[in-house]
Amino acid sequence: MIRPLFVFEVTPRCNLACTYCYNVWKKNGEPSPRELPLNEIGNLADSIQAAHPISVTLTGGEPLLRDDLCSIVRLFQKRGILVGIATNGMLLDRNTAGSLKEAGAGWFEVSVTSVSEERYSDLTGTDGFAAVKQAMLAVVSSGARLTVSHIITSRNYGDSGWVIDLAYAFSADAVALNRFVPGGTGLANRHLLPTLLQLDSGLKSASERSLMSPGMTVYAALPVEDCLLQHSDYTGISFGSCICGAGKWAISPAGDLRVCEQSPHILGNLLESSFEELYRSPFVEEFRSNNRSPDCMSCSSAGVCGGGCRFLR
Amino acid sequence: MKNKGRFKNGLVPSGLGIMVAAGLLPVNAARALDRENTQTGTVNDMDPDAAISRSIFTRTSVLWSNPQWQEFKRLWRKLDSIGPADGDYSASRLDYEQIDKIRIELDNSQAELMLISDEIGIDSLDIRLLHRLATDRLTLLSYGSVIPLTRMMPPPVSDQTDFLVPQIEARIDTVAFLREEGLISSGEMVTAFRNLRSLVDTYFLLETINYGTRYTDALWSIEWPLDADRILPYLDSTRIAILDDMRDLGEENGEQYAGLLEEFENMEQSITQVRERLPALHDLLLDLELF
Repeated sequence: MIRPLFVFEVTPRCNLACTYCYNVWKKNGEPSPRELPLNEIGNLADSIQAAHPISVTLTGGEPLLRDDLCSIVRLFQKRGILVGIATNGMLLDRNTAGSLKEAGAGWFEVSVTSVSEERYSDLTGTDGFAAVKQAMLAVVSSGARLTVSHIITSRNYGDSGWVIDLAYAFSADAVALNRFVPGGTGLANRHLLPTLLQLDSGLKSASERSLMSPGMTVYAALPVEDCLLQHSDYTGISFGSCICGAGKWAISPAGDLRVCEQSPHILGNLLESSFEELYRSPFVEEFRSNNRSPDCMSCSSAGVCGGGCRFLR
Repeated sequence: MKNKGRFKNGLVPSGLGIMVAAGLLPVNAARALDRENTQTGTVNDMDPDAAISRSIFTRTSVLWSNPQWQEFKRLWRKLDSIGPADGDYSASRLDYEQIDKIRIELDNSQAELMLISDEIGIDSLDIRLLHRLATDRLTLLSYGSVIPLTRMMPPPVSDQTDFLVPQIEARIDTVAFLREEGLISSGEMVTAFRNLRSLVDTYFLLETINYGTRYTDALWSIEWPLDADRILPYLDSTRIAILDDMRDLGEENGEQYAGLLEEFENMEQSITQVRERLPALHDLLLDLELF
């Protein structure tokens, strides 16, 4: 078994209304999952610790909406588990970043949707671009590591190069580029799917800016198939393969284990079953094998792109 | 996109103006300071930003009218104004005459600052390190990233400092470029420059190692962590490992053991000394970039 990376959605609540949001409970009519109280998260942390994880990333919803986030970080830190926080940055000022860093948060992933206030507002429902910039600066000022995540949609693909520049100017360590994959709220906004030309344009500008940004890693966090866009055209970007259900797992606010943040299928609850029991579920095998078209089998790049994102099939 | 005439046309306001814009200095305090040219202020001791602003002001206000420091700043800003050719720091835009001229001016400036270091309250160590960084920046802008492999031995960690200088240069350029494009405010620019400190701190510490390492001893071939906070602990663990090995081999009474012991002690002292100077160096760098 590959040592797991967990993405724990500590709350379903959010203070933004992103049109591209993939949270599974945002799909029309789905009830929001319950949010575990701190003492139950302690039990969950025991269960996670038993899986010998590489790290846990706390996300949501918006994790900073939880008043007890520092305590949650400590629960993992005390168990020797590396902890990061993925946030939209709206509530992340210097003091908060400092407190979370002191509690044991080693890195922050801040979403930068656009560098245009208008597009940022259109895509997230909030005038929050200034707050995002403050959050990025606050993370670095606190001494924690900063990764910027940027989702590429049909609306903002022209911003990707600028996002790289902004991340670099603000001393980010890395930028994770994600292409939009419809899920949650995003299912009703398929028009945000970038065309291949738009994705190419966004990746090209990101790659160019990356090559001028020594010391910062820029990577495509969601796989891009080499047969659709040749990776060798974007030498400034590192491309990876999907590791959902193999190396990376999502945990819902209620402690339910899933193969991916985009997947609504619950394998079981980590407060009731061990990770080892749950990851052997036949669903996992089915999910992992459902990733390649017949053409992929003869493709020399299959090992690199892994057949792409299963939720785009 | 980057490096189109940064800081032209009064892009950067006065030092006091930018401190106010950055929220580093209360407006009333700035006005009072401006009017009276004193070091009194109304900053809040509990606010780390305010404390930083006061230290910058206290330290650098003496320098604002000092011709020798202004000359060094002129040269620093000259380096700022030189961008990479199409984003490539390996492609020089300077001809040899220009390179030599700036290098000589930098050397002269260092010598003049050394003569008045007590008078203007800058430690000679600060001057040496700032001059070294300026010279390394000039080398990068002149020849690109070079691997100093010759018949002669390169400085011990020059490959690591050479890795950091393009990052410092490119991040400075990017901050200035985004300010010029209006994507970041002057306050955000100040914080962004201040956040470069971890990179610059690492450079200063590695440069100190470069300066103090003997060519013949065990410290020469060490790969140091690129993290300012990990350098001293790494030195300590290296010392334990090397000296323990020598003791195991029964070499603790030899000349080499004594020499190494001394080298480790000197190195620790030098690194500690530079670490103590880092707050002052941060203020001086902000002054060079902003005021």
